[in-house]
Amino acid sequence: MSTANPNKLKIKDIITVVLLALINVVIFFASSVLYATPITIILMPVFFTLLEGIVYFIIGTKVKKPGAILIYSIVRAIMGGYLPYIILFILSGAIAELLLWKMGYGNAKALTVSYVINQVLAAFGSTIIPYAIAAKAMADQMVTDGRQDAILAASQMLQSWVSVALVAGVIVAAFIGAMIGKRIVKKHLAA
Amino acid sequence: MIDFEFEFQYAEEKQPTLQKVGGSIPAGRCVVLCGGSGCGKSTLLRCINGLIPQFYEGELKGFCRLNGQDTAGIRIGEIGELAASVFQDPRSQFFTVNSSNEVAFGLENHGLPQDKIRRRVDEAFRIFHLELLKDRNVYELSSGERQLISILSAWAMDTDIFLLDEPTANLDFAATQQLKEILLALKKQGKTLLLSEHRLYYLADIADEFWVMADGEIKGKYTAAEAKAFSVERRQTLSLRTLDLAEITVPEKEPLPKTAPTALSVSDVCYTYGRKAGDTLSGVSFSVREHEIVGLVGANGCGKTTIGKLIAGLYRPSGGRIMLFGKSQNPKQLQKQVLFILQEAEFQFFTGSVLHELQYGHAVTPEFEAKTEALLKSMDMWDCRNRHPFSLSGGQMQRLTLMMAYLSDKPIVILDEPTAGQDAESLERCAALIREMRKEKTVLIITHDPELIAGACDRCIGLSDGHAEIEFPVHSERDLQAVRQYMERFHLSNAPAKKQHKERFHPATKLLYWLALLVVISTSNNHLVYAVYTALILLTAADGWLGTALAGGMSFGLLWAANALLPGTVFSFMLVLFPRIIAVGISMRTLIGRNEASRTLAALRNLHLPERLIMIVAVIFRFFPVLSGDMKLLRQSIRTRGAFVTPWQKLRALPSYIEILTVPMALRVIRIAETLSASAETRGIDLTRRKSNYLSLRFSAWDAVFCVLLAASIAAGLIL
Repeated sequence: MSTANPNKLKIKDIITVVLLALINVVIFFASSVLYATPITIILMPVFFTLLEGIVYFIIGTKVKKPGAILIYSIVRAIMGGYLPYIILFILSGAIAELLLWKMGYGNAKALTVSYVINQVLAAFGSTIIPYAIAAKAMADQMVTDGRQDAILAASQMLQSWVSVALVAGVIVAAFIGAMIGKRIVKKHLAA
Repeated sequence: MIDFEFEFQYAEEKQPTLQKVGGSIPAGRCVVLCGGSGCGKSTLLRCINGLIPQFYEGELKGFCRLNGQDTAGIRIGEIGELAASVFQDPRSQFFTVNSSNEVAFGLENHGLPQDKIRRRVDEAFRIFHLELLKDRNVYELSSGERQLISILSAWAMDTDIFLLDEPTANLDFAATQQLKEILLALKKQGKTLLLSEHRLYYLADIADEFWVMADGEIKGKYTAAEAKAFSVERRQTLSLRTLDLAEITVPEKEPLPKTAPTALSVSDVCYTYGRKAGDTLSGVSFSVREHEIVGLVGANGCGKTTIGKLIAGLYRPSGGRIMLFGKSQNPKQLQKQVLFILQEAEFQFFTGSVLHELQYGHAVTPEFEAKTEALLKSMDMWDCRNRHPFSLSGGQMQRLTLMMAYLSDKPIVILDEPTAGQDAESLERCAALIREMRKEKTVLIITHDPELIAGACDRCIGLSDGHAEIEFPVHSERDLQAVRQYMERFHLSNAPAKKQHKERFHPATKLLYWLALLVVISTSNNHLVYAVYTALILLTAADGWLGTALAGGMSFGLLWAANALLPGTVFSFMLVLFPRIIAVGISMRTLIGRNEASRTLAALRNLHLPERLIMIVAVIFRFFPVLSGDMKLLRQSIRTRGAFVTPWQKLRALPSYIEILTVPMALRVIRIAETLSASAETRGIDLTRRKSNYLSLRFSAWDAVFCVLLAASIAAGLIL
């Protein structure tokens, strides 16, 4: 009686992925103090990108099967509780699955590239889009309040260079986060 | 009846774990598998309940018949209809949040009709006189109570056979007594019991036979009478713990010098942990002399661990004073001088090997290396020195934390349940190492293990009702008997269950609010957001979350006032963004707070969503709060080991800090996932038949009113 090893997610794999994803959710919520000011919100994507690579790489290495990264993305997305974030995070999961399917499950390069895409899309969903919506909403409110002069300040908050700098920062942080993730996996899960 | 014969080798192992083991257990008999750690007990149980080879992969030869039915080719969940399994860690084998739902979990997976499930669940709690545990949040239960729930879950499956893997590994004295009574009742009902166990004393009146395993083989099968007649030497040879607590001997210990000064003095220390009265300490006072080993005993929830953490500076007392070597200390000073070894061993490992773990924070001189080598050899861990700490067994992890304590430079060490799940030989080694520690340190042991108390402690302090009520010397068998009699008085918490909240809304209504919010907060229409926010606050209040509703309302009011009084970009921005964030948090709380997680899951099942998706949501609901708690333990572990004390240290070694914050959690989670999925598979989670619901959900007028309110708020938001 020998065991088959189908390339299909088992209950254990799904639970492992969900629980690992929850670690990143816990880190996300534990650090939500960064939401306290409009300025620190901008730094959040960079901060999380540095931290979340460890769990991402552990999942990618521990569960080398189709669907693992997609489930991770769904869990992270749903716990974000914000529609643009949910859509973009799940989209990033689908892209990651495609890359892994092409380049091989557990492939470090595929995981690195997909992690960068994942974090850039997450930054759009978690910060850039809400900022844009908030800025638009704020501008609308200022018009209602008769404070047209402040509209300029509001729109300045989302000057294009801030968004570009944020995306650039996230990409750099994602590469560093991926490097940390790879190193940790090599050290702790090599066996 | 169980008949089996197996040979098995794990896929990742080079040697077989089981070498031709076979046996036959007639119906209604109780057999205990015993022997040293790693002898193959758990593997044998996994072969019988089908987890091997379907869950744990490898090469299996042989057969197993349960009540005459061959289990080859049957799914794990179907084997679960013949033999119910109970696992050793009650912290990680639950799939739901509510105790009644947990008992019903297997029955739901097998698709039993709702009324039958409800009858069976009620019967389970009634028959074993555990009604107090019904409809309780499993987070609020002790380890012992959780283990009882897992046995009720197994009983509810209505099988003739029970397979229990070290069920007392995480139980205290009182819970073990209660477990004994339940096992006796099961035996009376004619159930066949097969247990693997290190702690044997509570089984002396239950077991018919003891099967001693070693090196993957059953070396001997002994009747209960034969096993009870074993001499101490024979038991030691077989690595068996005592079958009779009265037989425990107290070795002669070197007396403390009469002039030994006081190392630790606790005076009138008070602490209130959350709002749980059971965890409140009210004026605890005791002292410990230098180089003394003191055992701290007490009923579950009496505050033993809390006082330990207060002494280690991990909590701040609300009153009283803690002195070390005659000087009053604040928590920061205590952290520098006291090491607290957590019961949860896996939170305390920061490196990639056993050797590095022992060297962590030390200057590795040739003398230190020699000391480490001798220590590893004395604890039978030398061969494991290059293994990752997380690849060790539970018992080996405990021994590693003890070695870390031994090598620590701190003069005071507190050990929380250091011998849970240890076999006889390991227990002896642990006791010897603690005695050795005494030469340089003062040791406080939180324990309920009479064998450890006998082997290591000079004295015992009994904690009850939030204060230290009694002291016992531990110099003779008579002293030990007094301690044992004191411990036998402990009983499981009789705290009445919290008043049950009457659910007003169908979870689908709250899901509707959540979905509406997801869409609304993604728009830039402030009026729409504020209108739906208001409806949500009203729903939250009507659902009984008055505090949450008030906080939500006040937050919005404050943001509004701040923006009105100090008009400017920042407050305008906050008024726009923050209600969107707060609304999501409140909505999630209404969906998963209290007992709502189970009801929301039932609603999702009623919506005929895919079972895999429901399982993912169930795991999220169940473990999100648990992992938050685990993060706290991890931070305590970092503090007590003296790593990364200041913000500058954290910043300077940021990658290492991130690593020790994340990796132990991830590795622990991988272990939890294994236990949880094994437990769920034996209870049929992977069966493809249609699943049923234990909870019945009904729409009420409240749902109609609040659906209309939601629609009205959306309309108002769009019109304004």
